Amino acid sequence: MELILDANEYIFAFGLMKKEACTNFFERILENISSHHIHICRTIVDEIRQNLSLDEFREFILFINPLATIDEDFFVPFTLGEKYMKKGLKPADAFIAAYTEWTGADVLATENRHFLTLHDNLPFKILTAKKCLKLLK
Amino acid sequence: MKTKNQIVKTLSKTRQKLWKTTIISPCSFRTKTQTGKVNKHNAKEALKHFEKLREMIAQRPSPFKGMTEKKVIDKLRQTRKKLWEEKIGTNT
Repeated sequence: MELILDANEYIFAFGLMKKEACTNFFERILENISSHHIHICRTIVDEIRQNLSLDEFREFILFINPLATIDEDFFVPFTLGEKYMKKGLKPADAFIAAYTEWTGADVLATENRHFLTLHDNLPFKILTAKKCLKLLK
Repeated sequence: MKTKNQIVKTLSKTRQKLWKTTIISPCSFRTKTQTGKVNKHNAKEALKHFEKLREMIAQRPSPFKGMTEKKVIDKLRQTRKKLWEEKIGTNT
């Protein structure tokens, strides 16, 4: 399964705010990593960096490096972002949705309710960590 | 000795070749990203750093202490908005 994990999933999984489903979700992915592929873009990395100290961020890079390549934001076509802005998302959220479509990922995992209300005709699923966990079982 | 026309033609060919390399390079990068398989050793390595990072974070006070999940997500969205505005150079 191709996955995009929103910044809030990383932050919750790392324990900055305790949410067991997010931690379990990460552990489940790592247990069965050969069946999944994680994509991460520069915006998500930058957001995570805002909430970590320098040493913690170094550890994060060591964690993510063996799992995924960081995609630069400028690879994502602007028109894709516009499409999601028309669906009512704020520009930065629209970019994450556009990035998910551009990578061809199956799932965008997020706890952000603004994403979760978006359902109509999307080329990917938007799920919380808890629902993703059920899907991975 | 090459004539002016011959030199221009050679330079034009070089430019065309360079241009082709430039425009296909992001595609090569994408292919590499999409097909990159993660082996068990890498997963083990990632898990080690994941656990270490969780330990490091557990040792300091959380910036979201006392906040509800909704408030934390709203704060994270504000950070995203701020970062995005800095990136695209606007302040809407």
